[in-house]
Formats: sequence, structure tokens, C-alpha cells
Amino acid sequence: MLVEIIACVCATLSLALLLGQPKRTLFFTAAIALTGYLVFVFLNQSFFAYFVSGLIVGILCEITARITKTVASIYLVCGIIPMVPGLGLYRAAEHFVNENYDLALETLLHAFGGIGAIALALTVSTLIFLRFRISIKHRIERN
Amino acid sequence: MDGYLKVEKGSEVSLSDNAVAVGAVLSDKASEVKATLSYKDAAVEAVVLATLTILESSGETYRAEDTALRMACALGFDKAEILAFPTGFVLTLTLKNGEIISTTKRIAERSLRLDRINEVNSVSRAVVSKELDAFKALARLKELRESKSLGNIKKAFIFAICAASFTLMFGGGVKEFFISFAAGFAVQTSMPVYSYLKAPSLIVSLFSGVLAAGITMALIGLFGGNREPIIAGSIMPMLPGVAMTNAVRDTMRGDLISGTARGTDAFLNALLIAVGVSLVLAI
Repeated sequence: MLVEIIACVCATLSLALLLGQPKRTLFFTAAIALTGYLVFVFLNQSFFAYFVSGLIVGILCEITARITKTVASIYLVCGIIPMVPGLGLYRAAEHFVNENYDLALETLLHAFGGIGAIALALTVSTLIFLRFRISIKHRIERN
Repeated sequence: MDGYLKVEKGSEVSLSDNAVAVGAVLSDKASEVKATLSYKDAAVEAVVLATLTILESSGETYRAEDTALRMACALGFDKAEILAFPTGFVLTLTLKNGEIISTTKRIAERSLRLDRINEVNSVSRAVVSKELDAFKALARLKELRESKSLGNIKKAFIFAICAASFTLMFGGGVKEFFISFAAGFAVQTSMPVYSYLKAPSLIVSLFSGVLAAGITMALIGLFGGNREPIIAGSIMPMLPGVAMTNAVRDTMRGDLISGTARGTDAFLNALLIAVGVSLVLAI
């Protein structure tokens, strides 16, 4: 478990560096990603786990972005990556190659279902923090 | 406009006195810009550059539109309307005297640059709070677009560490760690070749999948090891988590076209990586 935690932090941080994330946001990114991943593991990696961890990551990102006055997607991009079902995608590819089509479709659907659950969770968290575009001055001045 | 600035046809520099200087280096560059452009041109170019940079760095479409409208408003344009897509945008600005300036830009190449999205965001915040005028904003945007990303070797190392960490996360051991490191290094080292050949991103995904799986299988043949965590780990950094996230966010803000486009992009990229891997596994 300890190895997994360290690996999760290393993976998130290196991806963040690769995508050129500003240095002062690195710590928060790692913390968000780790929180999400731990929730994900404790909930046994089910669809529910994808949804809940996605929701937690989404909400944490929006809050952190407002505190640090940056853009929420900076945190989202790397914070969500430990939950992305790369292993499922790989297994589906392997089952297809071995002509286990039943198993392949099942794994593929599970992987895409996981992505769908994360997307749904991010949708909800974005909706919670949605700012309506009311303050664009020229549109008001025009009237 | 509380006497801050007026954009008039043929008006030369009408700069406010209370603009806060942002730094000696910047003001040097800003005066350079000031010497060559009128205020109007600088303001238009600043709005266009900000929008272009966000879209080129794979920022959300609603962010690009929002930034353009806010900056145009703060820089003193009467009306602004923008229609943005992941592949380009049309921006129409109306001056106080009724003159209309319209710009269309096509965005051919997109890469993911979180630092640029962040920087443009802070420039736009500064413009809206009147800390930066058009010249300084333009100078800062130009400077930011010239900033280089990490070197290729450094990038390859970071990518390799990322892939190797994912392998550990998926239950790999020491042997798997090093094989995944090598595969990740090779995948990222080949990226400059694709961009030199101007290969479309879907082809890049396919070849990256092939390369990751191919090198893994070759090294496993030499040293042994479990291929599942290695290949899954080395394709993780390539999976389009970003495109997926932005697709959702765009769709939620009502940008249905951008959302669908990015969603399709994410789905096809993931699929082609898997196809690339299976091509090698099938051999």
C-alpha cells in the first residue's frame, strides 16, 4: 500500500511537470490526486468508486482553484489521472487479441463505464460551482 | 469609462497615467510595442493573442470566449462577440464610433500547456482590474508565447518516471519498473519526430501504443517480467484524461459543438492506443 501511495504521488507529479503545471500548484495537485485515489481504492474500484472519487476530486479542485486564484482545470487534469482506467483498457486489448470476445467486451464496457462515471461526477461538481456569466460589463452597459 | 481610455478611429496612444508598472523588463518591452502600434491595434491584438493562446494550449472553449469578452470590455471596446471552437475562432469587436474589426483565426496545432492557460488567465485578471493596459498586456502575452517548454531529454525522463510510477501502482516489481521506464522514455523521445512530420494526433496515439507495447515485449523477451502492469503503466500518461475533462466542462457550459468534438477526440485516441497495443500483442 505504501508503495502504491508513493507511486501515485510520483506519477501525478511527473505528469503535472510534463504538462507544464506551475510549480506552486504541484503540492495541491498531488494532495488532490492522492485523496481521490485512496477513496477509489477503499471503495473497491467499483462504478460507485469512480463516481465518488471523481466527485471528491472535482469539488476539491474547484475549491483549491478559488483559493489559489488559478484555473480549476489545471488541478483537474492531473488530479483525475490515477482513476483513469488504463489497466482495464489494456486488459480489453489483450482479451481481444486472445479472441475472448465476451471477456473483452465486458472489460471494455467496464473501462468506458468508469470513464463515464468520472465524467458524470465532474459534471456534477462543475455544476455545483457554475458561475453564471452575469458580470460581463459591456453587455449591461449596452442597454 | 471613467476617463481611463478611449478607443477612437485614428487616435494615437491615449494611455492612462494611473496604470501600475508591472516590472522594468516588461515596461521595456511594452514601450517597444507602443512605438510600433496604435492603442487600438494593440488592444485588438492582445484580445486575439489571449484567445489564440488559450485554444492552442487546449484550454476550454468557454474559457477562451469568456477571456476575450472580459478583456475586450476592459480594454474599452463598445461591443464584442466571439464564436470559438477547438479548431479556430471568429472575433468581432465594435469601437465606440461604430467601426467594426473582425478577425478569424484557424488553429492548426494544439498541445497541452497548463502553464500558458494559467498565465493568460492572470493577464486577463490584471487587465480587467486595470493593472495592465493594452501595450503591457500585449507585451506579456508575446513574452509568454515565446517561452519554451521543457527540453526533449528532460521531458522524456519525466514521462519515463510517470510511466514507471503507474507500473508500480498497478502492482509491478523492480524489473517491471525499469522496463516501463525504458518504454516510457522511448515513447516520449519519439514525440519530436511526429511533430516534425506534422502527424495527426490519432496517428501519434496509434504509433505510441505500438511503440510502448513493442519495446515492452522485446525487453520482456530479454529479461522476463509481467507485461500487464508495464504496458498499462506506459500507456497511462497518454490516455486523454484532459480531453475528457474539458469535453465535460465545455458541454456543461453549453458549448455542445466543442464538447462533442473533444469527446470524440478523447474516445478515438483511447481506442487507437488500445488498437496499437493489440497490434503488437497479436504478433
